[in-house]
Amino acid sequence: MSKRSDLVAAIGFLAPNLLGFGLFTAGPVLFSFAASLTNWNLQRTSPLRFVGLDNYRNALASDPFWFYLGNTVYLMLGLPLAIAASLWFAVLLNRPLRFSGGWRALLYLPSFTSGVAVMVLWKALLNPDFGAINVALRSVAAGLGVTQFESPRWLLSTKNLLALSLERLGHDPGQWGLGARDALILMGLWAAIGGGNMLLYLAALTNVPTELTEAAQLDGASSWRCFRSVTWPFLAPTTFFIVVMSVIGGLQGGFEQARVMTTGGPASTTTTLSYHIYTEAFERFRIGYASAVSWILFAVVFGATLLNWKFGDRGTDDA
Amino acid sequence: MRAVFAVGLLVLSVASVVLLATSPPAAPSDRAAVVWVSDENPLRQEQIARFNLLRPDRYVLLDPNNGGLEKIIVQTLAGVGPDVFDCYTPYDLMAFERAGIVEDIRPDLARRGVDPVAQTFAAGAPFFTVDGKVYGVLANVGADGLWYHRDLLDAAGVRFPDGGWRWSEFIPLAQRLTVRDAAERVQQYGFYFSWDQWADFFAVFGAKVFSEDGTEVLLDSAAAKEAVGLMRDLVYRYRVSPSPVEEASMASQGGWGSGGLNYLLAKRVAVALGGRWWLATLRKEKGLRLGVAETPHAYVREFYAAGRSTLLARGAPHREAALDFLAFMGGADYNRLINLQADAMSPVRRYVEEPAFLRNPDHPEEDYNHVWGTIMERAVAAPVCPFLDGGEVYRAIGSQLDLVKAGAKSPDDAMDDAARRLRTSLARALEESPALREEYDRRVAARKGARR
Amino acid sequence: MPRSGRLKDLGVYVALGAFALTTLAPFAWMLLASLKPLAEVESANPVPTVWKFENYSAVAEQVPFGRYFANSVVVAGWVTLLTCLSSAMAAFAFSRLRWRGRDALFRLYLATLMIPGVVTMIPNYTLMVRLHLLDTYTGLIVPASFGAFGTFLLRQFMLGLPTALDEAARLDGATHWHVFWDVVLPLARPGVITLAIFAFLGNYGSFYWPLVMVKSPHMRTLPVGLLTFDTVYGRQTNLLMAAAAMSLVPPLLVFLFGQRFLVRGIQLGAVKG
Repeated sequence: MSKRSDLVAAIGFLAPNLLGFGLFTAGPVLFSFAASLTNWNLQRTSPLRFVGLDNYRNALASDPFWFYLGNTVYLMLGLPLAIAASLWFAVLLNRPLRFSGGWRALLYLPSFTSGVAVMVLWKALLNPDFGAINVALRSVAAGLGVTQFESPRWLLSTKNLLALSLERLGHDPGQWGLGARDALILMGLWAAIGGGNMLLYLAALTNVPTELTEAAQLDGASSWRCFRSVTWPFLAPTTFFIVVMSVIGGLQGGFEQARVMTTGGPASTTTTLSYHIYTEAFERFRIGYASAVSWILFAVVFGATLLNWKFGDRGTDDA
Repeated sequence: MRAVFAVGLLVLSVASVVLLATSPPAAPSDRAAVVWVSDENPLRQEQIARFNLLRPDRYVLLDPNNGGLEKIIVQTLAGVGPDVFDCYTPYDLMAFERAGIVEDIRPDLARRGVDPVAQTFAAGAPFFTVDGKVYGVLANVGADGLWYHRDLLDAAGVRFPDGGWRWSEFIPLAQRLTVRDAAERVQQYGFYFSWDQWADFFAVFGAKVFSEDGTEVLLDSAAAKEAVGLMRDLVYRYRVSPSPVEEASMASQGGWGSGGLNYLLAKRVAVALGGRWWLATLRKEKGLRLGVAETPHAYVREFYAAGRSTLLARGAPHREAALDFLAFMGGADYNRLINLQADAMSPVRRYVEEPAFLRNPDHPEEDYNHVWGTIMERAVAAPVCPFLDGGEVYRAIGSQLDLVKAGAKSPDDAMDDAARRLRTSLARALEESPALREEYDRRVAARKGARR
Repeated sequence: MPRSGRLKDLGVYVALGAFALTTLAPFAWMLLASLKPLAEVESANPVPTVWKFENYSAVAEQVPFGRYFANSVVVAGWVTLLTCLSSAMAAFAFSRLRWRGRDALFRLYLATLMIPGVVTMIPNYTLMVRLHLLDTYTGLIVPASFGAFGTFLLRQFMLGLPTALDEAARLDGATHWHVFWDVVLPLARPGVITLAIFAFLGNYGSFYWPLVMVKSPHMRTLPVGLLTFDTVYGRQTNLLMAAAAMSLVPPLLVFLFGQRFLVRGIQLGAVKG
């Protein structure tokens, strides 16, 4: 392959996107960085001034920041499972099925349904006394002969599987159990399985040449071997996309649930960093501080992405 | 696919042209438009229609909001704010004031014959005034009382008194109104309150979050602990109100304490703590026989007022027209309309006191307006802290109440912890801003001087 | 072999059916709640005792639903079109062309996705004021049409495409534009379709940007216009659900139309033919 440079053509192809991107994305992002170095808090009594890294220092030294970061990361624990499950469903749906369009629409339905309806039904499912989930758990417990079974109180409880303590990041064995955060993970899993990731995998699966899979099957390869060695390589770039976007979405996530479903409670356990940033900026007007927290979040996401990049992206191999 | 692009481009172009061609002008060109950021509901539309009818040279346009502040902040920072906008708490008002996006309009209103401070219920003052400066007018006002179903009271052979009464009188009645089935499952609760309504309990115990001058945190006072203790006891000791677990099965929905409104509508509860503003929704349901009683008291027969104010935005594009609208909100037409609509109660005291308030000719069944009148007579303003923002105050209290509500923490410990958190926040706020520190020291010195 | 195949198929249908039941439940609840009187919305019984079909006409009576609907569809349509086109071009440059600084610039693109949108709202809005785009369709469409998301998605998709066809076209002396328009874009169709579904759905439901951008009643999109059923003074859940049910028709159509192209095997035929 000859070395050639397509710089001129590249500029042409990039121009429309780059222009819009520079104006509406890069500019405001730089602006927010500048804001993070100031005490901008919309108060006439404290005039705008440059405060250097004070906002960053204050954030890193505050208990709530670490507590909310803990909540945010905890809520991401379901991501690997969500990605694997959506890949599994995409593979199922990629088979020649009757009504395949109908199945896809059914699985994708949560993305269309009104958030209010989803919330009401999940609240009913998670009801500690009558909810279907606890009823099922209790019958399983009874089947296993567990007599002292205490049903989880889900959205009303501050408990969690990692026994994270209350009010500050730490460990408290008394908090071990299933609580609001676990309920949100379940909801997130449910919404993600048939969601955008499944569509992306469906799109990527169209790239896999049928001849290759058929040839592998004729060779007598098991369906797992066939998937692993023939299909999977074609899915790698899309997987990289999904993982990166999931990590970004997860670290910036929790805003909608917090605002609509839990208002960040009970006892702030479902307050994530993005909800924290929102309340700091638009309830407390501490825009400088909120920008700094955003940039700390950026650093965390960027670090995670670099790791992904190192292990996941194959696009740069031949560059 | 390229065909899809082409067809899409064509269809969208045509549709856009049609939309642009059918865009009516937002306001008639011969009238000065006033943009009002508020919640969009039919009541608001009627209020606007009245003004637009009275003033052929003015035209008010409603710009809907979601109850948050981001719209006002983002728009005002860019210098293109609305003309007038709504404000829901004294803390929000102080924040707007500190941000310099509102201005003192007392002289402008005086020229139009309106003196909001003199004519409005004093308990509503913190919603539109700070340190004697007037930033707008009160749009409505109210305080919570007990809504009840007459049918359910009759069935239980219970009557509520017309005047003031005590929790010790109410609780046995609420227990008789709580109906359980054979399996001990509650079919009907005797009393519903939302834990967000903690201020209503504080009021009747004479408990305060802050001292009058806002320099001291009083959240860990005995009265505050007793108030929270009563909330817990109603659920876990007297068992007349649903616990969080029980309430989850009632599938609550958003709004300010409006879960109670829905439970009342569905007769899941016999009595609920709520404001007169519920009436606007309750009225739509025909055939309900409702009554209202005062919130029972503990140590004082006082209630904390709630309200909504409408403020003039500094640099309002149509300032004079906007001031005319605010003057309208201080006048007879608007205030009488508010009382008829049951958009809570009219902020101007005179119109709650006139006989027309007691009877709405269209709703003769609403024979309890005198109770609302008495409640408002006795309403006071809850002290606020000018050094903290509302978000921090409500979160500090709310996250501790979450734990009490779940039965995971005692009221005493919860209030101690909430008070500690607020004191820390207060210290930090004073440390960060020399101007706030100065004001704080001035107030503390004034209080000490007064004591001596 | 055929027997075990049929058994396997049965298992697939069972798995899909079980999950579909859970996704169908909230959807069904939404439709049923849209037909209830307000007092019954809280009721544990999902089926209305009185069927209020007039809830649907009540929505149209209380708000100019048709106008909000048209605004939402047209704005989301433009955003979708512009996003797909501009992202596909940029993705082509990032995946198929070779030039210095390519990966560095791409990482910069990617990095901007990591900044939460909350803090960029103020500068973006200020920019709109400067450009006199407040309260205009352009102001609703253009800022939403050039994010890094689409570029990233399509770059990844194009990396998964075989390079043989465009190398061949290039040897035949095709210009870059031809390679893009006639070879890569048709091959990338499933990716573009997926992006189109995302872009349409995302923008159709977008709330905060229209909330601050729009002032005139006739410019409102559905999420802003429907606030009237969900205010701080209470929520008319039945009407809200009726409005939601009517609102989801366009995204559902876009999805059903688009997903037909996410089928294995359609690819090669399309190129050969």
